[in-house]
Amino acid sequence: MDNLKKYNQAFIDTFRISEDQLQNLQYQSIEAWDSVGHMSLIAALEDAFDIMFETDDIIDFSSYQKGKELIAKYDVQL
Amino acid sequence: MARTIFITGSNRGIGFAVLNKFSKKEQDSKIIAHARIETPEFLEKLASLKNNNIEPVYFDLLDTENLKKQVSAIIKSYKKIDVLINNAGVVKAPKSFLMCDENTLRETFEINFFAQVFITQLITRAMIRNNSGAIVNLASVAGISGIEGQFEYVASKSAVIGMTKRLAIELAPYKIRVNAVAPGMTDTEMMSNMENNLREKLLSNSISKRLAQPDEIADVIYFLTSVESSYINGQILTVNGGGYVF
Ligand SMILES: NC(=O)c1ccc[n+]([C@@H]2O[C@H](COP(=O)([O-])OP(=O)(O)OC[C@H]3O[C@@H](n4cnc5c(N)ncnc54)[C@H](OP(=O)(O)O)[C@@H]3O)[C@@H](O)[C@H]2O)c1
Repeated sequence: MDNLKKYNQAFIDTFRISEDQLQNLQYQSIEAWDSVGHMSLIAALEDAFDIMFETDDIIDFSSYQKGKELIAKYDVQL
Repeated sequence: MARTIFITGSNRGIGFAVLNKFSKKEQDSKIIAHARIETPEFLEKLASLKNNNIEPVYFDLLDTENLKKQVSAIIKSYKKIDVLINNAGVVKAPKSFLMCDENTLRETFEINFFAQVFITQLITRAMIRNNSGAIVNLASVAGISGIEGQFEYVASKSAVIGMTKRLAIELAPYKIRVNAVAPGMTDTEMMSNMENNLREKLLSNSISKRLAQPDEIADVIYFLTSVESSYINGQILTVNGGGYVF
C-alpha cells in the first residue's frame, strides 16, 4: 500500500468514514473525531508508519490536510 | 498474562520493593526498571532478582528533554506498556514555608510532579494502543493531611492526588485505570529527611507504633495493577497502619 493510501486508511478505519469525507475533515467536525478518537488516530498513524509524534504535533494535528504537513516532518512522503 | 511494566525510581526504597514484587510474581512479564544512574549497587540488586526480563533504563527526572527522549525510545521499542508505577520522588531537608527558596520549590515539583506528568503523557499513548492499562502514582499521606512533611513536598503530593483523579476521568474511555497509593511513614532513606521530633511524635501517636516496610506498600501497588482491582479507579489508597490518635 502506498503512503497516501495508508494515511487515508488510518482515518477511514479509526473514524469509520468513507474516502470522500477526507478532504475537508477537521478535528471535531464529526462525532468520531473527538479527543478520544484523536488519540486513536494518532496511534493508528504511528503504527502505520512506525513513527512517534511529538506532543506538540499531536496538538497541532487539527485536520486531515494539516496532518499531511505534520507527517512530512517524520520523513513520510505522501 | 505477560505484561510490560515500567517502574520509576526502582533502585531503592519502595521502588525496589515494587520491582522485587513484580519480578517474583511475574517471571514472564517484561519489567523496565528506571534509576537515575547506573551504579554497582543497583546492578547487584538486579542480578539478585534472577529475572532475565528486567531491562534497566537510566535518566534524571530533572532533565526533561532527555526524559522525553528516553521514554519515547522505550515506547518505540516495546510498543505495548501495560503498567506504569510513578514511584520516584524526593523530599528536601526540612524548612518552614517562609524559609523555602525557589530552587527547592521548583526542584521538588519538577521531580514529584512534572516528571510524572511527562512520563505518563508518553506512556499513556502506548496504553491507548491496547485500550488497557493501569497507572499507580505514589502520593503520600502528607498530601492529604498536610502534616507529615514540608510545604513543597506536601504541595507536590497534593498535585499528584489531583493528577490521579483527573487522569482517571480522562483515561477511562481507553480503559486505563489510574490510582494512587498514599503511604504513611515508610522505612526508607527518605525518612532521614524528616525532622526527628516530628517523626517521634507521629510514631508515638500512631495506631500501629511502627513504620511501614516498603514491601507492605509494594503489595498494595501490585494489587492496584492486578485484575483483582479492576473496578478501582481514581482512588487514593491510604496505607498508613491506621493513622494517628492525638
Ligand atoms: N518513605 C516514606 O515515608 C514515604 C511516604 C509517603 C510517600 N512516599 C513516596 O514514595 C515514593 C518512593 O519513596 P521512597 O521512600 O522509596 O524514597 P527513597 O528511598 O528516597 O527513593 C526515592 C527514589 O526516587 C529516585 N529519584 C529521586 N530523584 C530523582 C531524580 N531526579 N531522577 C531520577 N530518580 C530520582 C531515587 O533515585 P536515587 O537513588 O538516584 O536518588 C530513588 O530511586 C516517593 O514518591 C515518595 O514521595 C514515601
